[in-house]
Amino acid sequence: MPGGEERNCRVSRYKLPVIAFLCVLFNLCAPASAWAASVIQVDGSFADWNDQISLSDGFGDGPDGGDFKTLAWGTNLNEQELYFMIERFTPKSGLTPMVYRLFFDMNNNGSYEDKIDKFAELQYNPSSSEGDKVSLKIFSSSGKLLYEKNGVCGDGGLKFEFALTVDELQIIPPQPIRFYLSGIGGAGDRLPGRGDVMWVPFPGKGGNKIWIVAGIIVWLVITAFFLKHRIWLFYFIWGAVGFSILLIMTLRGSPVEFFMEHLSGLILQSILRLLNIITLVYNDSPGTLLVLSRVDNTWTTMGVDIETSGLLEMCIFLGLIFFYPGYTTKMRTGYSLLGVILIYFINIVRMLTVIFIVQLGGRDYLFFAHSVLGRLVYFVLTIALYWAFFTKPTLKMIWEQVQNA
Amino acid sequence: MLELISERVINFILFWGIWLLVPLLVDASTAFVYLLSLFVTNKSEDLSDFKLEFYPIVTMVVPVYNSAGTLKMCLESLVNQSYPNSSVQVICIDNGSKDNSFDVFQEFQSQNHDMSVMWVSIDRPSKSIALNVGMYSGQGTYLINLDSDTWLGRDAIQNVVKTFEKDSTLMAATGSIRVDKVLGKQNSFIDLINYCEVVEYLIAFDIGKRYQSMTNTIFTLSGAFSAFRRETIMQSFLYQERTVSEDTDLTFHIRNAIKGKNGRIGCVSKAFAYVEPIETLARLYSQRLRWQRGEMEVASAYYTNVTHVFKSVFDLVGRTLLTDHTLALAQMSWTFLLPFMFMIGYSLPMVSVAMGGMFVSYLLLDILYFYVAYRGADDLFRKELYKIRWIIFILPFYRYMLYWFRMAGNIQVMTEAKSWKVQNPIEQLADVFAEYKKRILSWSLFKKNARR
Repeated sequence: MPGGEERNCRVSRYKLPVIAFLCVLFNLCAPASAWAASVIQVDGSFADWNDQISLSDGFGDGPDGGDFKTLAWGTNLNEQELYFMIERFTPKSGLTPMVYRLFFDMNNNGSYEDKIDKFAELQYNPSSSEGDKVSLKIFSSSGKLLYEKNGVCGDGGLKFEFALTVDELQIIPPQPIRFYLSGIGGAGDRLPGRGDVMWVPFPGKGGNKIWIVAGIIVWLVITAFFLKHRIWLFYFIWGAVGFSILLIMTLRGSPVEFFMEHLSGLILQSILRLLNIITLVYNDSPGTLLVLSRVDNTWTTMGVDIETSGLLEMCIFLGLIFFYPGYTTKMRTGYSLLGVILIYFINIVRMLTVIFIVQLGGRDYLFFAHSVLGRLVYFVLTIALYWAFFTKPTLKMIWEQVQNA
Repeated sequence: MLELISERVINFILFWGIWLLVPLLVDASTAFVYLLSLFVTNKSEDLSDFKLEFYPIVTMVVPVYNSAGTLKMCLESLVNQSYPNSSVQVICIDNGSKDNSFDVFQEFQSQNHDMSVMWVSIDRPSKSIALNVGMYSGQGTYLINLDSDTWLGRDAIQNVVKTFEKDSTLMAATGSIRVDKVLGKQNSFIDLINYCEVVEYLIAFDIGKRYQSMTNTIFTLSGAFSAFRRETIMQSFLYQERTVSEDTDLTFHIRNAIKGKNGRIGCVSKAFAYVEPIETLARLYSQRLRWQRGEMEVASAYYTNVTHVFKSVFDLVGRTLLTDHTLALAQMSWTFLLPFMFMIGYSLPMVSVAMGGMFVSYLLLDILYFYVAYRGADDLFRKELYKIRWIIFILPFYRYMLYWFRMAGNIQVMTEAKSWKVQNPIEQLADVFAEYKKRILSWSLFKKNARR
């Protein structure tokens, strides 16, 4: 027996197989449900754009043939592409060519004329012999052609879709960028009508189910080995960290993640509505919240994604709670349920902090709000939670042991 | 583009790395405070003009357990003190040695008649009880405990007595402990660990304890070398066996007992004691695990009524627990999860650069700590430290290793009964594999015999 007399450590021999079985079952059975975002494809079919994140423009504020109706954007899981869809109102003078420019502020500083900034020129001629081909050229802000490619159009020359890869745009996800759509020439329409849209595209990765299941089995065997031989440090590290990583991989891109993100979006929208802050949510873009800033009348995309949903922190917390030696099953159950709910709401508080700062100070404060103050609020509250669920009960249990020694 | 990449990396470090950055900032703020404290003069430390009018009796309590190898050096350091031998009483309490420690004692006694030396044997293998027996038997105005593998600098007792006589509010004090290691001569793995220990002890005692003494926030009166006024220790519960850190337990007890009585606990930073460097990594593991376990056990005894985390920020024990337990738990998971982030969508180069950035941050922290140690050292020691200035590149790894040893203490206190010596996980694994190998061999032997 290492370390002297064996202490009655409450580790159930049935716990690991049960956890592993549930993980494997969930992994294999989790369906692509209604909560999942539909997969966007550049194929000329536009059903995949229904209820994706988008902004609409009013009728008659642009020239005939160049009067924008909708601009939609989004990403897919396991892809490195940024998808866009542009729709115009039906022109009175027939299906005239569509020639638009999508301007990108790559360094998110409000200026579209920096060296790093770009714009995409999109040309589609419905009546040409090439049919549904869209020509797409990417220029630097100074007008130098960087490269060109083709997209696909459909639906009678009124809308078209295209994709740009993160490499083509030279962005490092999740990197905040801004953009707006404009017609060519001074009299062209603009979408949004004023300002622009800020977006932090983060085309995430989901795990391969077979590998995750294999990982769960290997993790289980090794964890059981450490447990059997009471090698506690390795048991705790391997068990807690392995569980967290496997849970993250399992939940990434799953209905659970999309449900949590969508619910966060809806809760945030309800709270912000009370404060007269205008927001938009989209069923097929779970967790995406478009917030209208009153400071400069611009839209900010607040994506409740893997970085901001609190999912990672929940998985880590669960890993620690399940494998922290000495706790009873009752403690583990109670703390894990309460902890997950609290982390979820701590994350809502964090999101509200970010939105308030952006509302008050404008989008230039996004970095500070998201990466510094919002994170600090989140950190302090989470540490308070760790104190309550780990350190305080630990002290109580040790004190009982010290008294009984 | 470079600006963009650095912005992304900074965002990543701030957003996800916060779990590792905050513990780093806590350490960095401690280093800054220590640095600032070096510029503050502590009047009670200045003993140059203070002369003793008489030499009060000092009792040295030396618990002995299989100490034949070091006892001679320990006792000789007592007889070679600048403090008069006639005013020093030495009590060695043997708590079950199986080696020839007593022979070493006898030889010393026969050669030093001018000093009062005693040998007491007890039949319980407990350091706490050994110390208590010594404390009760001692006649001195001041009672000093000294480990048998520790030896004192020539002026140690003199400076302890002077400090107590000069400052009547000082009730108990720890000495300044240094690791006795020649720097820069050998560079094997354990030598590097020892160099890190030297820097660590220098900061912890010469600077850290000095600062804690100035702010009356001493956490532990070191079990290796601490001094007490007779009435202070006799009015306490003495050393208790209930935790593995009997010295911290006693420190907290005395702190509570003298609260509101114009008394304080301090450090005599000019009273030096020397310990041998740690011999093996396994011993270092065992030592640090015991320290952390002791910290948790003592904290549990004196810190049960704290209602919430925000209250703990304003308390010495609360802050220690926050960093050594609460933050340490979060830090454990994030240490492994940060490199894993590329699997959920972050670019691998960015994650790699961010991890590199984290390492540089820790390196900068240890450069700061090394500078603090260098500033706090005297001229002679500075020259020695300068020889191993390259140790700053090893210190982050040493710090990181100690973090895991502390984590092992946090875990072990929840799972195993207390024990002075513990097996580290590598030894445990080796034992398990050896057992498996034995089983396989006996099984194949059985099959071979069965075939015959």
